[in-house]
Amino acid sequence: MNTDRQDHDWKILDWKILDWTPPILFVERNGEQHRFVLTGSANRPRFSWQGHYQTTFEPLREAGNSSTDGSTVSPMPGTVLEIKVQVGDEVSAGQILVVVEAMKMELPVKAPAPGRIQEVLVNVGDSVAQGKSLVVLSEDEQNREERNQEEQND
Amino acid sequence: MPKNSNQDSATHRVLIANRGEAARRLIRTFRKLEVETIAVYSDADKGALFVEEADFSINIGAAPSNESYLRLDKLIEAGKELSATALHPGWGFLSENPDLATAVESEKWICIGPTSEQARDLGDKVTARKLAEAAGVPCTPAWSPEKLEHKNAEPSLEDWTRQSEIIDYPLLVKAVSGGGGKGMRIVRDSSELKEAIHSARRAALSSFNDDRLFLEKLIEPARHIEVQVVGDGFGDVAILGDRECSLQRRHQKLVEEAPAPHIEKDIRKLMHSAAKNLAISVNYRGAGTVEFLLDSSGENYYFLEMNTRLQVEHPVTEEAYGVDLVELQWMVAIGKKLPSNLDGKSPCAHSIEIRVNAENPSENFIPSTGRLLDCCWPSFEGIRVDSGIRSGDTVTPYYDAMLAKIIATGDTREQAKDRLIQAIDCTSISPLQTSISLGRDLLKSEEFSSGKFYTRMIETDWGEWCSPVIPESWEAPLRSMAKKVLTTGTKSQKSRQRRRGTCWDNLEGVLP
Repeated sequence: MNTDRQDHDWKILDWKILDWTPPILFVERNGEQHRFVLTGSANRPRFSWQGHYQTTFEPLREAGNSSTDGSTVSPMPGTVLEIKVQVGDEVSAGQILVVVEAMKMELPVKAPAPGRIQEVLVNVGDSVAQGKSLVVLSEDEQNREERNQEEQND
Repeated sequence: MPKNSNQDSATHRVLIANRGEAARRLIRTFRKLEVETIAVYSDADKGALFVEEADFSINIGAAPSNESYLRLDKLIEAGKELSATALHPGWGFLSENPDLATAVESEKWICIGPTSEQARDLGDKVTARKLAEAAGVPCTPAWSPEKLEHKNAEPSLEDWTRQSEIIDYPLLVKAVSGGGGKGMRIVRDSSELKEAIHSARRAALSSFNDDRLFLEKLIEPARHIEVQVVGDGFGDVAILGDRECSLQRRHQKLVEEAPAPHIEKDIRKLMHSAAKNLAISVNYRGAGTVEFLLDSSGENYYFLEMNTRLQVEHPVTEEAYGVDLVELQWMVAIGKKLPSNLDGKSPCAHSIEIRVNAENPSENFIPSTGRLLDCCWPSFEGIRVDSGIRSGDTVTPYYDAMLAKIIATGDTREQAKDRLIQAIDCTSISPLQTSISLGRDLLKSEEFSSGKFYTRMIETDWGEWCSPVIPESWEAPLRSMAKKVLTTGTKSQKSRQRRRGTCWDNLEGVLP
């Protein structure tokens, strides 16, 4: 079966290729053996290791979950199941704002910090992409002052 | 006049009321039995593997499952159009819907599953508990509002609170029609009760269209052990061993094995006969599973529920006991007797399964969706892969996150485990995140070896678990090695890689 098997008498630093039977790359380093699933192309390889796809090799992607405009974003693509707040509500950190559902799983989206609900950007039943802004939260006064204080101290 | 099985089968055409991996699994057995199959598919599943593999196929609606796979009327319409004579619901979707058998049988088709009455009674957790108690199966303390004096009265929070105190915390608020952990909430003290009832009720209503709830004592730590039954509908029931399914996340199983390890011989016997008694007491028809909780002493077991369908994890039973459960379902559906040597069959191997869920196990299992660049499965001795996907497919958020299962079988539990770990190392579902990297570490854990696992272990002890990311210093050498091997491949190898979308993906479903 191993018609693709070749002699890979080749080393880089302390790594040695023991076998390459596509897509499995079998290597040795310091006496330890590792299996990788290697696909893609020479310039854009994709590696999986121990069942985990290694994002290290991807061109840099935008950070998905953080936002700079005070909005709270959906952590996953899905459907809005429930909106637990209204414009004007005061919320505490960790309070559930919206419940998103995907793949039969419910995920509560929580307030990252205390604040006031400035805007609700979705309706129940909406399909949302990962990273889509759901709710705009304005920081409460006290919190902003504290942060300003900290920044000045820095 | 008795006919032989081929003649029986040749006259039939089965509508597969499911999708993806489940549909492919069913089609495989029906092909073996020379029974024709009809695939039904939603707009999201045009061009899916299971659609190609069925003898006939038909679109039944839009992507959301309540506009397609959950629409009994559309399934019946599709079956009429393509002259179905039978229907197999698989698991999930309509498989436990009590109206299914009635609707299918009113078309004079064969419903491959239990009767409507059995699905209704056993699917209603309160009725199921009563049946279990009547059959002498141990149950946990529980309370349901129908025990109120005014039967139709909605219980007040005071009623719930009082009954919770009688049962004693910790306890579970559960949906009467629930399943798969949906509509179920753990309550550790009275302060959590109100919110638990509210959210369980909402989940129960949206998932099962039935917001009835009940209370049940929480047994923890506990193992989840289940017993496979097959009944012929006339009182004959065969027990096909047990499965260990304690490794779960969000009350859904992640790693399963058969037979269940580390159980006292006497307790195993008792669980088997309890399951048998329950199935016999309802003249059970088809394949079913009686689920139990086994407490940490290993001596007390409690009825959890009975699932009136084929289970996701049925392959471990098939591999460990050398049977084809879909074939057995078909036999009883067409009125044949169960083989006489089936009941109490001893395991001939040990089998372990890992579910390949499209989710990120180090980020609270949030779904991972998108287009699949690679779908590389392991292929070696003792490995079976049941999968519904291939390279180039798009994983959508509309359906369950489970894409496939990898099943490893060996002479011993140790051998099965080693094979499964190696199989995981040879799997790639890039660029999605899946549950198998966590599964790998669970398999390697001391808890797994010693059998000291329990249902909430992943949530309780593995919350800080992180995906295996290569050390930074490996990146450069790995890039060099990739460059080396991917540019020196032979011409034929390259063209084959192109043709197949960079690696082979059509090896699933191969039995060891």
